[in-house]
Amino acid sequence: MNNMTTSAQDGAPVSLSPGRIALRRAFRHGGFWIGGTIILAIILIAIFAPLLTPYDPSVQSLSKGFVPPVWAKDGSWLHPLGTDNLGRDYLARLLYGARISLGLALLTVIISGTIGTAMGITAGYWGGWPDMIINFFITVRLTLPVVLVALVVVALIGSSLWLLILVIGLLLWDRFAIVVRSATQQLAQREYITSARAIGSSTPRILFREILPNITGPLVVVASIEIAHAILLEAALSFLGLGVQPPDVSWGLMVAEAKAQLLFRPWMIAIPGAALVLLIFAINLVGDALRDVTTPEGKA
Amino acid sequence: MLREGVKFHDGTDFDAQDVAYTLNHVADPDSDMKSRVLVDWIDNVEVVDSHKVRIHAKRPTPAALQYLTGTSPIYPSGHYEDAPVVPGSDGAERRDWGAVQPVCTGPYKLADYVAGESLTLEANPDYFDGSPKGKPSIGTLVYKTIKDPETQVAEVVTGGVDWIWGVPPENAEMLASMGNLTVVSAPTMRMSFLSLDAAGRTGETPMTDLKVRQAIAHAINREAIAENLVGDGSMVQKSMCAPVQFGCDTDVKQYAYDPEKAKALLAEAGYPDGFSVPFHAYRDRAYSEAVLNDLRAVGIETDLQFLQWRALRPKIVDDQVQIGHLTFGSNGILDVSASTSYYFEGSSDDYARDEEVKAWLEEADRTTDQERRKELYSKALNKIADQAYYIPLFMYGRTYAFNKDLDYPVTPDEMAHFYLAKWK
Amino acid sequence: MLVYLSKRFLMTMLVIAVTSGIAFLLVHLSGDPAAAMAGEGASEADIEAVRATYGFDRPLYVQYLDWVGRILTGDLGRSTYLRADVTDVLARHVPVTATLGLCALTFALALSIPLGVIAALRPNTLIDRFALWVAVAGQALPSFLFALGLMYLFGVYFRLLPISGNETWWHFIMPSIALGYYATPAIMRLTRSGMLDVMQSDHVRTARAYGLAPWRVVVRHGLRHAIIPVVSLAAVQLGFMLGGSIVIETIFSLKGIGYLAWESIQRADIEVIQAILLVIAAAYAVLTLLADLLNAALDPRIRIS
Repeated sequence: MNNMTTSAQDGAPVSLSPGRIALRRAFRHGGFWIGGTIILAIILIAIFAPLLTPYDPSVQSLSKGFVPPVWAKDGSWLHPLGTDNLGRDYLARLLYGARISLGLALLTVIISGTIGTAMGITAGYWGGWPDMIINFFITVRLTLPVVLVALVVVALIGSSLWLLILVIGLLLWDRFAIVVRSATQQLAQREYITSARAIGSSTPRILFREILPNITGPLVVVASIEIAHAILLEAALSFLGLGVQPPDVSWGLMVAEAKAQLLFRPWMIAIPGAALVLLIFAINLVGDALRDVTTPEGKA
Repeated sequence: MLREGVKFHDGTDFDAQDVAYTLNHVADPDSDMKSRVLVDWIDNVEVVDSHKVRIHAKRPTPAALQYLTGTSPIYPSGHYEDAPVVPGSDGAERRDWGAVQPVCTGPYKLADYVAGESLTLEANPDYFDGSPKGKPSIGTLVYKTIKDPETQVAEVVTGGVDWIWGVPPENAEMLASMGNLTVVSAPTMRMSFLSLDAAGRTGETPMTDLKVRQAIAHAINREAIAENLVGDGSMVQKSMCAPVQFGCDTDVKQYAYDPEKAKALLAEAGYPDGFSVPFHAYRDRAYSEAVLNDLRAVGIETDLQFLQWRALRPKIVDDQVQIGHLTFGSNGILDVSASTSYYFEGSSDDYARDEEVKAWLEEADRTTDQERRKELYSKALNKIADQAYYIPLFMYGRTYAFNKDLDYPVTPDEMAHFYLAKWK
Repeated sequence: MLVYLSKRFLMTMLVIAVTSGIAFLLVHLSGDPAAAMAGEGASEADIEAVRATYGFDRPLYVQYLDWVGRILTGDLGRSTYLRADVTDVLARHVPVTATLGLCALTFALALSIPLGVIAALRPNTLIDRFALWVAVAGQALPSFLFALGLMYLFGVYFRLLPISGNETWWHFIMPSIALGYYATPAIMRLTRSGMLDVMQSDHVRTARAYGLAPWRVVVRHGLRHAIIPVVSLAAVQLGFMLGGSIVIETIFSLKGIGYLAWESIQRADIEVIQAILLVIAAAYAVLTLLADLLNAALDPRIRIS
């Protein structure tokens, strides 16, 4: 049994129907349920935001700035979470902010996942000099500090939503490449792959029919880590003033804008901050659960 | 004529030699002087006697005294000889003139300086009597850079520092209510305005249409932005200059906040459903957002491009900015030639490119007859307003918070005059 | 071993060389450095003057070769804003970040290794679960929120610790915690899984069977082996901390290289930005090299391959 789990992240479960076993295990995992429910709720909020609030999150009313939330003195149900400095409804911003935070994270992970998986499979399947070159790329990428590089690019070129997605996507592929590479390496030596080669199956067929389906386990785990990573990175860039730009709103941007009120109106930073923490907590829970069920013996 | 009996911090006497030396040095194009407008007018400086110099200008320069009393100090003769030699372009060498520690005559002398971190000033005991600045009262001042504004506020609240500026105006009241701080706001010379591409430098856009420009002017609620958002110390900017500047005529055409009229003008111009336009900005995003909100209300959809100045500037030069939300502080010069002339004399910043305005301004900048200058500037400013080339929005305020025991007179020039401060 | 070493060394040098190219391009291809240096309100003539003085009007590859040539002679360039040699500037800022990184790592290790060991010794108990939840919850808290929270609580509310600057050791407490806690979950997990493995291995069972004191078994036979991957991870995490301390240093106004980097980006002080990217890359490369060597020293099995 131990021969297939040499290190923490390598262990792709290769039994007869790995997906089904994993799924069955996942549903018995408490963390999966809690995390999954929270994520689902946030996704629903993001989708149905227009139905949940009558306000447009970017419409301002300068004379009604800094209305306190309903539980504070002078608060009212008109603006349950109050308004910000430009008089925009805080609840509406929170609901719509979920859209950008989630959407940005998903898109960046699609970009980084595609790049990383392609590189990882190439390196792991062929080995030899492609492996060396890709390994080199991975090392170069790791030596570049993510926040700093993202800052330089965004500060100088300007920070549109698409550029932000592209930059983060192009920076966060390393973990995908590393994990997919080692998973593929192990698979490539399996009997059924070598025999598929021997009977002359085409390379694309082997890659897409045999290898890719069998590395989904570790892939999903890495994706969960990187989604959380992307959300945090966007929040950090927003914090330094270079993240999502208005009229778009993300939770990271809300935290950044509220930071001036830390000493005076602490709820303004606490609300989007709590939302951010809850989302990432839920993603991590699910990621952990997936890791548990895709790696045997409960090794973390 | 120079004042006698003034000494530099290194003990040497301040005389005509020093003035000529310093001015001749900074006027040289190789001096690495960043604000060339302050020195470009100087042809050469001649020493007449020990305390008298004659400055030869390249052309009549009515604002010369403004330029001289600005932010460029006089150093002792030979000051720049200590400048380190550093590698320049193409393997050549250049001198890093600015690396020499300044030696001045002011009320405070530099005791310690760590670039980008802190500055320690000590009162100058030999400061000359009868100075208009007065003798310094506080012995030692330490000026620290703290990057994060929230950290600055936290420090001043807990007494870690005694004085900060640039406090967010919306927090002024709450800071003041803490009891240990004095919070004051003052107007500044920094103006905030929209540059519209009336000249069509970005191509044939709606901005070339006078009605569209006037619609934009009517769409923006400048009063609300100045009062509710920018806060204390701010006010609506009426003309394309700072009101304290010589020649700044504020009695020009004003566009009242009137979204209906703006929509009507847009319809007349052929845009009944509005249009969409890229909007460039680089400073104080919340203020830009407020402007965008007003534009959206009349049907102008904007795509905000919020950039660092170094990224926006090349776009301005390369004819790529249809609407730019810009600010300008006139380098502290109290003369309209520093603001209006800067934007309307055909430089790469000029998106109006009005030959008539340019001619008036150029003549005014070279004329020494002050009445004639006023008249010409007024003509130019009126046309700029009539044509709505640029839309003046508001003047920035600046909010200071400092220890209650500190007596610090706040000045309207956006500069910190610590020699005026005293402990109560 | 020697072949392995020299290969690794060559690879490291090559990585640093490529990184230098990337750093250079990043800084030069976006925005106009001359415009930034001349500052707001500078006229066209001002900017042209700056461009000529600093040689920004030359072709990019000439500027790059010029830069690399100077680096090879040990000259990292000159800060145009601070008006000092970059080497001197870095010499002032690097120790601050290094101190911060080491303090943060110490904090992380001191918290996570004991937690990981306890969790592994009592797997699937309440303590194990608790440790895991702490890890998951901890990782969900963005470091800037945590930092602001610390500042609010200990700096403003209780007034126990200094808020900004790096004058005394007290100044490093909050930033180290804020930076270090983020590394704890990963280290804790690795310690836990390593300990789980080792405790089930034959020699630990044998040692137990011989009746050695439990803590001796844990430390001498268990932790010693379980710690090997942790060492690698710690070195890598230290590298990340050096690169990721921008936000923390900015909040606490700690004048390290993260703070310097962010300031320099805004001032377009390009030689400083380039040098910092290069130094961080080199530090990271050297740290991973060290981690590998340490691994080899601690685990005889690696030495053979």
